[in-house]
Amino acid sequence: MTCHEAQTKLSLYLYGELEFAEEEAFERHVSECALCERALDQEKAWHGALNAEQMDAPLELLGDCRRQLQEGVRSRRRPVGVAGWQRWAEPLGLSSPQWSMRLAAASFLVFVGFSAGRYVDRNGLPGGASMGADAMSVINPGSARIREIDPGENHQVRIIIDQPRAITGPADSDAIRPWLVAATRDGNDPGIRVDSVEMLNGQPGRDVREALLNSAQHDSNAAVRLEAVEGLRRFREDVETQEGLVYVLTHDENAGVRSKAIDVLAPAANTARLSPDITDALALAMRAGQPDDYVRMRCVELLRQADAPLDVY
Amino acid sequence: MDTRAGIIGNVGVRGAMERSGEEALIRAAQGGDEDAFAQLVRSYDHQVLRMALNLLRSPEDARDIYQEAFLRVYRNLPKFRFDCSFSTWLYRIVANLCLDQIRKRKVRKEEGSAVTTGAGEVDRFQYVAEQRADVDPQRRMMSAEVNSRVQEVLNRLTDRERLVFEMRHFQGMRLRSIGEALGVTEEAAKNCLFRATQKMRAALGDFV
Repeated sequence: MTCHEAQTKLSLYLYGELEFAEEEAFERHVSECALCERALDQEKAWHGALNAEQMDAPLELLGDCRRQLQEGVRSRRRPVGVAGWQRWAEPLGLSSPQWSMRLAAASFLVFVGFSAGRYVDRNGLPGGASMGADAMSVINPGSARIREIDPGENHQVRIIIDQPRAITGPADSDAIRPWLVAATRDGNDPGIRVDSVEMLNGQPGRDVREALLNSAQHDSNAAVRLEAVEGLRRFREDVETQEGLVYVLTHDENAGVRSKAIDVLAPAANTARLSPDITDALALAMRAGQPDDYVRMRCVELLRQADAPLDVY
Repeated sequence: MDTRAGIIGNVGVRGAMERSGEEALIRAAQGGDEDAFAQLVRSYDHQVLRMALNLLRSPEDARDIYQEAFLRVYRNLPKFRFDCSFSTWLYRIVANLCLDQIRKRKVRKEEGSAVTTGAGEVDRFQYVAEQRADVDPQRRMMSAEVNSRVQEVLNRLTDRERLVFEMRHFQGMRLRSIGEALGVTEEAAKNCLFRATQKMRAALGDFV
């Protein structure tokens, strides 16, 4: 490879876009040619300078966009039909804009509920069951969660169902936070995990940090991992968090998550020195071959700040 | 070496799981499951917003692109037939919207980068960049200088060069995916990137 050829491939090399044989030839040439080696260093430097200029989307703007999109989607859905609750509420006047009508309808419903309660207290539910099959028809078996099925005599069966319950309160309260922490481990629904991680972001506490660390490193969904890494920003100065971020950097297959991890980790190096373990792990990651050039650049910057020996990368 | 092989092995398995997970999400969203649609949006929306913000350098325009792109996805998702990856389809929409917006601006001869703050009128790109908490005064000065050079050279790139450069350099997309998203060959995308990096090098190479 000539110097001219090598110098037309500088950026493609840094982007990892050269064919295997081309990359081999490029590296061989650069290792033997001081001029091209200097040109490569300069190329890395302007790439790095440019990376520092990249604008990240502020989270407030992202939040606004999500809310606006939700409204946009809702407004497109509305003409298709009236929402479920409106369909049954309309004949009762609950969807009426007039408050007097709403009040009258609500009072009527309270009265019906009260009378039904009195009737059940006195007469029990029909059919001699603890809750009859007719009464159960208000619960959709498709959406109910069955905890246990207990077969009895004469073809009888007892089914224990988990009933949904709602808890409301400030996201950072002691009553709510443990629920959010538990929800980060909900194996079935990544949507619940993203929402819970989002609600925990910015909150203090060891339980929050551990939940975020777990999600950042082990969640199967990239969106959850991305939110969790962002949430670790608050804890980035402690060693366990830094170790977790390095793990994400070296193990996560998603380039967006890896970039976020280095973005969160890098400022910690400005305010507090990284421990030798962290710099060693970063150097190891560089040796193992970090596939993303942005992450590689930021790692190099970080290692420079930490005065790591230059030959490691 | 073992570590790397382990990492690569993990990546493959997880990648396959994510792809099948994404396909399930898309199918659920196609069937009208709005939670699935929301999850799909959240998997990509941060990157989409960042790309629009970097290309258009205006939070308002980036917000418009975000809305329009995902609403188009919402409207047309039932017609998505998995002929290409979801991300390719999404980025095709985003790239076209961004190109349209850049062209409209040129037609209107509207710079769109000025924003009025307490300190008077400043460049919007600069303004947003300076909102970042981790910028110290010395770095801010350097940053202003680099920023002004970056602006100069970005203005010298063609629309397509700018788009390819943004997608490769900042979004980390492979040239093959960029080509697919823009409806050109990988070679054409590579040539575009080559021209863009030459211009960037000429403007920034001696400065850093």
